[in-house]
Amino acid sequence: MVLRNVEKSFGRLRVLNRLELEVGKGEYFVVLGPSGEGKSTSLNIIAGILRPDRGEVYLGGALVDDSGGVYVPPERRNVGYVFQSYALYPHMTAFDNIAFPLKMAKQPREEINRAVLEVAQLLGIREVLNKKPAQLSGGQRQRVAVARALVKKPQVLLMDEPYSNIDPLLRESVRAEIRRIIKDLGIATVMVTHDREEAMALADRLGVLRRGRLLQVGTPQEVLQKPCCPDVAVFMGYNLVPLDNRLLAFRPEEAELGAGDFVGELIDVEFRGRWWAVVARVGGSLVKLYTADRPSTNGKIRFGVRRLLEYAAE
Amino acid sequence: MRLSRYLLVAPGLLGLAAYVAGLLYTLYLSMYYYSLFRAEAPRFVGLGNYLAVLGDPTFQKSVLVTAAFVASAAALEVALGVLFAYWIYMSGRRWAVPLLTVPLLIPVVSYVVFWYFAVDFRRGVFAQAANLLGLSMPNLLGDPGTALWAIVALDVLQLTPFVVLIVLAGMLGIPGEVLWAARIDGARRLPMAFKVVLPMAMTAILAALMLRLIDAFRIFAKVWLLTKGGPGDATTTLEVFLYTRGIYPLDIGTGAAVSVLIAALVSVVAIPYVYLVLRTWRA
Repeated sequence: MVLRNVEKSFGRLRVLNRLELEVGKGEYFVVLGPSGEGKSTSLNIIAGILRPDRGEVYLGGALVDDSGGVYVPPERRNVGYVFQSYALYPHMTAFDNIAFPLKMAKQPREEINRAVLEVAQLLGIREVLNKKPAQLSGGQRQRVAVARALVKKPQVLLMDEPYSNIDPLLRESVRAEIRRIIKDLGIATVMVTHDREEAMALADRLGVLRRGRLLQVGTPQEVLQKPCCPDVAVFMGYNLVPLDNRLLAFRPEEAELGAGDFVGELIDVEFRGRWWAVVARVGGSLVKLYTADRPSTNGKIRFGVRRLLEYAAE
Repeated sequence: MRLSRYLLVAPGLLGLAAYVAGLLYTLYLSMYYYSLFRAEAPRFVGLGNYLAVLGDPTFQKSVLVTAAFVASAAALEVALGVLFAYWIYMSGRRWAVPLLTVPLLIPVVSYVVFWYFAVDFRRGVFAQAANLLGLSMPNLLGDPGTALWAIVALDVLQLTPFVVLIVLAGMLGIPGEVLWAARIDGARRLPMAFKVVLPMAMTAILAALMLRLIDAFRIFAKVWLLTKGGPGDATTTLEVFLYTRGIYPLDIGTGAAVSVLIAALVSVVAIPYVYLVLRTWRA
């Protein structure tokens, strides 16, 4: 799955700006970015729902869109798509929802039954196959949507914020389970999310999308340890402190209270379970620091950082 | 507190009470011989009016004529309406929507006059076109075999847009992502229409059908202005019969009896249908 130099504008608004994206076989790739920065647009271009203004799209080595004469429509791209809303067919049972892609491909009835039961078994929804979407819980609906996307053995699985509508208590176990299933099937996946924790937990590699392009692509560890630029650093949770012509960046967990080069004014302290989060004003900017013990100081605090990154100010 | 509750429902209850009272009074009148042409007190005749009406061949014919009109007009309007709505929906031709309201804003009388001239077998536009081709125009409204269908055609012409509007509204309620999911799942053309879009717009389609069925039973103006129920009794619908036998001759008792029979006949069609539709809405 390759996007080359893809551009897309809606009216005057440029959503994607020379987007480059390559996803390998069986790779779980996560596009991370804030809302409204073109994450869904990029999925829609891969699926063929939208056409790029410029650039090329390749699926499995074949050119499927060159933003000109070549355009393979969605029904002939063999992609699976899990929409944020799940987009299930409300008038069909879960079974018929999952079977729909195979029926459209005119597969024999026994083959359809076998494939649907198999994928339903995998996702643990065999008991609810004769229910309609309105009778299912949010988690079951999401599994039906994933099953419908997987049942045709797609070349690429696209997922648009698939876990954002799931009960936070269940989210972690659900996403781990579904990732396991997808990895076992060996299907290349592009998932978009605005949730950094989720992106880091799931991604083989992730890309940070800002202003229509991927600012940095790498493993979660790489991106977290070495953000390429202040934009990515902010998104990975770094504190930014301007100093002269530079931007200093450090992570909240890499700060040590007590002694050091930084002096700030304490604003607030939040209890976060495993640690305390201290919000302080340093110079003109607010920073967040994590500390194991409740800070006793009021007013001024002094702290140092174990690891400091420096960027040239923009 | 208690009083305010009754006050709040009072307007609705009053309307309902007036409605029920009207029904009961009609039921009462239908059992009397009561003509405004005679200086006679109403005379109780029991079911006499009903027996006379039910035994009248013109009434029996008007039941068949009305049934034929309701079935063909409603079926054609809903079929064509769904077809056009689907076309507008899939092609995104939203500019067609305001145009659709035009036929509904034009008074029925204008429509009828236009149609009367159009199908006139001597000088109408169809006749002129036929003459140019060396053909002759049949006298549609004057022939008992075709008069009813000429009226059905006019009704379809005027009220198909009504069905289009309702069905289109239903289709526009379908989330766009579901359509894209269907495309990604490989659905095009016929499966897209019959497996995805139409089932999801089914409540709107059934509602449009219900409204057309109930409304078509009351067909009067178009018939009266075009054929007055003729030739013979070929286009005498139930309401035309009611008018010619009950209202025009001021025969209150007969008119009341016909009204009650019409209400009973409509109920036979409407009540099971409404029941079925409500059941699909609940699911």
